Amino acid sequence: MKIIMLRFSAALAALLLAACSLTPPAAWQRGNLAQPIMAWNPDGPGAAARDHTYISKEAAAGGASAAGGGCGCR
Amino acid sequence: MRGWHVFLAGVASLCAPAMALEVGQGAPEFTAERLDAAQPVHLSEQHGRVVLVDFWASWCGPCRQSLPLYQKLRDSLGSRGFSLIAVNVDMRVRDGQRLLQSMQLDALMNAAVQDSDGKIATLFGVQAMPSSYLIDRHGVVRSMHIGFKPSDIGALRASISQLLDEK
Amino acid sequence: MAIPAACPPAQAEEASDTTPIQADYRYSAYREGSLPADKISNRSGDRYHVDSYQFRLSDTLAGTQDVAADLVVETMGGASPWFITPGVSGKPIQVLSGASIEDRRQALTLSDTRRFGDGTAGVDVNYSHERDYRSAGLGLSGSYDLDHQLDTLSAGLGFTENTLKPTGGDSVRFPDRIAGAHSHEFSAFAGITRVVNVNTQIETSLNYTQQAGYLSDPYKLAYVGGNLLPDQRPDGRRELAWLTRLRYFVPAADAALHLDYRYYADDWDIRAHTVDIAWYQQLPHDWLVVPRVRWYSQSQANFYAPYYLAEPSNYLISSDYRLSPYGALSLGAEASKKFRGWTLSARYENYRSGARYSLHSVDVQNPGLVDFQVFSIALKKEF
Repeated sequence: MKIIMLRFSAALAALLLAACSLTPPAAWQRGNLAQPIMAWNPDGPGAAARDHTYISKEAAAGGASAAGGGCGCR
Repeated sequence: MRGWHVFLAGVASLCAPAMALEVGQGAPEFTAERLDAAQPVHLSEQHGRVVLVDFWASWCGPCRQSLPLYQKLRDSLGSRGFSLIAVNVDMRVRDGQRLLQSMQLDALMNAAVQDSDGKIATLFGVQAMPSSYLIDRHGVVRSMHIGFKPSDIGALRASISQLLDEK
Repeated sequence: MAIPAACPPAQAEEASDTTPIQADYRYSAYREGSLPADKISNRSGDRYHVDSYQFRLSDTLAGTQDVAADLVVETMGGASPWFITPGVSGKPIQVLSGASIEDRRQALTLSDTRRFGDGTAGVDVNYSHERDYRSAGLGLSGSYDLDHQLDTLSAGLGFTENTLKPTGGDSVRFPDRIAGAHSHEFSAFAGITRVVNVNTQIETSLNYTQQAGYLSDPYKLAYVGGNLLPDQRPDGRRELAWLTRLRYFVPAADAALHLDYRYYADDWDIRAHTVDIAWYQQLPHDWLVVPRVRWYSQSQANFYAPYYLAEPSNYLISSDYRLSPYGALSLGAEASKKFRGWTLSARYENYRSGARYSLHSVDVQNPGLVDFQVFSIALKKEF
């Protein structure tokens, strides 16, 4: 189990590095980021239901809601 | 990672064409294809009219609020010499066309042009979506606006009216 | 609470001057797996069930103000872990409470967030009520965009007041059970969001919580050298959660990868890791399928033990599995379909906990660890 987790973490790190082509998009290139499936929480009530279950059944809690990303529209 | 970003931003700003447009400058000339037909639209053709160049996309919420209100401006001020060029920056032109159809804004189609590679947006130095540029009868940029709320339309109508009254 | 990061989809039926009102309804059925006979002393290992009904109304006013109202009504009941006995040859046995009467919980949350240029400010209030517990809270939050909305800073504060009046408190049947207690909670968070490239955005945030008051479970007991004593936890707890989230769009698949990692640490010595991975796959005809896997691992609270041979010097005792060392693996999937302004979705999740999922080796697995399944359906409408 632990070996699997270590390998997984390494794969995760590699994925993150691969995702980091460091060219930020121009304002008009944010279409993909604006897609509903790219939201931090595409389903508010669904995420709230899941979080409530985990908080009731586990010791850990917390995970702040942050803003930003997406289309960056005004 | 932070240092890399600063460095790349610096390089990009050196390589990029003229930065954001300023009020008082002449609007950059451009040619674009209409959204619904392979017909070119030249900004220079609008010389003598008051033009609103608006950058919009199907994925931009405030843009979707603005489009029907811009159509209303065309309906009431078009005969006095007002023109709209709605520049669609969707990567897939189909997305922009579909939005206008689903919102029953087919009347807006003949004012919409495509800019899927962002060349015109770059020319105007668009910083955020939506962005609109109000150009007077002599081709000079008189005001620029980032973002859109429904309450903005009143002030915009007043500005356009004022420019239409100018000779 | 925060203004949605992504713009709503272009599904408007007709030209409208204002953004649509959105209504959500969700029903969830939560069912715990029965405990096997070799882990319990009761005749039945049946546990807890919850039926949840959620309602949400949200709207954007004047293009700058997001308001939302969330109502949750739940009915729940069943048996819960009561105390643990050493059992034969030290293998701990869980004793469950008898099935409780059906309880009901109602919770209401109202939120209002406004945009001011590059910043937002928001407030939310929440109130929750059930037979033996009441909670009221207030939260403030704000955000600020930098660098043409490529970076966003956000922060917030929260305060919650809880009142507990345990059923059967101070009664003949449960003379040791407290009649009433209070606790309160103060929290603060700060986060940064970064748009990395055309397909990637990442967010990291820290959430600090400080609790004070009665934090024990009035319904639980612990076996201490042959006696059963009430659950007794510290009267304070400080917690830190560090959450990092990645959203990665894959144009070739028309799908998005969600990767969340949370590190948790508190002053009861609990350390926990949570990894949540979901794949949002868009399909033709407005279908969306989301498989999800979640792995969780926690270490134990420093005063926890399944049972005690003698009373500890600090008098802190608890054999609640939620303070024990264990891990959990959850597999789930959701499917949804959009049609004419409506979205219908169904979700299933299977959660299993055990020492085998834990990052660290576990000497004694708590016999009360829970497995559960959730089946949920939801309906969403834009007006």
